[in-house]
Amino acid sequence: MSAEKETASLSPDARADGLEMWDLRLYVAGQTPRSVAALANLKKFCDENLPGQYRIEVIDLVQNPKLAQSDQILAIPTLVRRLPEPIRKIIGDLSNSERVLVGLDLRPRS
Amino acid sequence: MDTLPTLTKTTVELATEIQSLQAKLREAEETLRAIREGEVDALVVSEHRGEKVYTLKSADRSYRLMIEGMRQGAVSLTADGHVLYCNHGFAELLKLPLDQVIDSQIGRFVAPELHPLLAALLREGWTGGGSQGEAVLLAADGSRVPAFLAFNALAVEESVYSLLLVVTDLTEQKRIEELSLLNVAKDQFLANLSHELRTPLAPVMAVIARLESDDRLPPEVNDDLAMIHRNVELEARLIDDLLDATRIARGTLELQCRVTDLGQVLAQAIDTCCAQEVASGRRRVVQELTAPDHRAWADPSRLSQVFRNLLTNAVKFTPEGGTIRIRTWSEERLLVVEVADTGMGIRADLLPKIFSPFDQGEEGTARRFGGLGLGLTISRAIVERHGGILSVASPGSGLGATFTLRIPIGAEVTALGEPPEPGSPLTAEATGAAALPALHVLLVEDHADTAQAMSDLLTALGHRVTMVGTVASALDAARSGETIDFVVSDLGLPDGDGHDLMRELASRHGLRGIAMSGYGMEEDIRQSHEAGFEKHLTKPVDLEVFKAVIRQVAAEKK
Repeated sequence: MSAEKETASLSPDARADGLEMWDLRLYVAGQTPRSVAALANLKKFCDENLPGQYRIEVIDLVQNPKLAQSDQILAIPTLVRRLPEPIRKIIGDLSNSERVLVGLDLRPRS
Repeated sequence: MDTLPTLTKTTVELATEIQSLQAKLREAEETLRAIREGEVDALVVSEHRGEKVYTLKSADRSYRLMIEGMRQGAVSLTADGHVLYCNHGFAELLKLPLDQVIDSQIGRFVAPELHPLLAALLREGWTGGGSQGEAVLLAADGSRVPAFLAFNALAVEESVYSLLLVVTDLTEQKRIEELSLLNVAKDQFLANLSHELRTPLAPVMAVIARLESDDRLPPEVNDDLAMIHRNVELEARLIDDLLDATRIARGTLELQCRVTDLGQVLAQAIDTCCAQEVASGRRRVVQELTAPDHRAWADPSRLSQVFRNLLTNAVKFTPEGGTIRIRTWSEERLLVVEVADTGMGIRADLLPKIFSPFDQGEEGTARRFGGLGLGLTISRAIVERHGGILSVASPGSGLGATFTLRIPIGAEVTALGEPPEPGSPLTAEATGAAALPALHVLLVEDHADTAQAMSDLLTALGHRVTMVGTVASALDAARSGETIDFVVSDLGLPDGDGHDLMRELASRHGLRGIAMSGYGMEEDIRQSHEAGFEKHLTKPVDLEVFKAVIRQVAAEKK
């Protein structure tokens, strides 16, 4: 638990030094407009902020509703940061990149 | 210090717990925010049998469905014509799969010769607040699709614009336009054709009339002459039907309405069409003309045509021994005329088509019974022009048919057409004519209906009329010593020729006059002028021209 606390307090600059992979999971519901928008926004965001160090797994809950359980998904779309720990969730279509930066701990909360 | 580690542990535990709770709270708040701000369009709901995903059908979903469902093509474009999105309607128009349309240049689908137009439309659509025009699209199968294009620049989001194109397929419309042009050409052709067919009959009929009144011919030829007369007349009637049908199609069928006793018109029609049946006893003809009032604002000769049509049909389609029953009665402000027969009837599926031009009911009817199949079309059009209804009923093939005509009478009569009301043109002219001297007109016309109509008109204009039907009685009237101002004469009179009459009246009595004739060719007009007529009017006489002539004569007298 203490490690988690430490990681959570790291600054973005400190993180950029390491070569850890970001493991992201995007939960969508088929081709709903927000799901499509979330994927487009996420790709753009990662290319700008995490070039070469991310992996995105898209999980379609319409095809596999059971998969919602593992990450306790309620609303769709939801982005889950699996790695680096701790797990973080950002709900919505990721249209506000400022909020995404904060949500992924790439920028400290104000 | 036994309690201290416990306390410390508890503090750590509490801190962890608080942190975990804070994370959960943050997630909950984040979820609520995302939902509130419309960033979420599906929810996972844990149900008895496991998780289920519900997509939120947001407001714009109905627009998406509408755009997908509409028959027009909807395309969103960049300013330079790159297709960002299109609906299925547009892809279908081009006969291409959707993904082959999206991400293409719109110019790919427009006929090359129209590219300058397309460029102008794109430019104006983007900068000028919208543009539209007709173009030809190229479908994947090589066909050319006429289409209407409408461009509009829309703000999709704040300061983000997209060019929206709506495409309407004009194929069907173009086809209808072509058909209606063809139809106009057809009507014009029929009008010309019937006129040309009618023209040669005129001299033939004139010669027949002359031969029939020629005592020098041996009586043996009378039957032959009568046969020729009948058949030429039949042919003339068929051609007149064709002419009427073209008039109806072009909306130029004109009525000459006046207060008319339709009971009388009907009785005359029954006499003409059914006299033989009654005399021979081949078919029973029952008349029950019991309506209390048969007067209507109507064109007597046109309604006579309708009655004769219904009656000849009834006779034609009723086998010997059958019955034709003609009844009239009143319904509210309508006069109802019913012609019912016990004849071959009409199949239920053919009933709705019976008033269509060239329709003759069951196949083979035309061969068996002849005719053009125009009578009922013309009849219905005439009745409708009178503000009435002509309907048909039949229980089925072989079970007889009933035709019912309803026409406004009484108070409705004055509401219809142009009955003489104060301030109406007719009254106004009558008043105008009153300022001019009244004329004494000698009207020579053997056709009773026509004579009555002309006489009514002249009387309404303030003139006095002496009506005669033969050359002899016309000469008598001229000799009677009473001053006659003007002569209006038919040319084909029972006891002689209108030309000869006019020569006599002009030379002996110094009278002026105009001729009325069914024939209006140049030769006919020349003959009339040679005989001394000032004008030659072709029947049916144009009443406006007739009134103008009378006005002029009256003005000259003044």
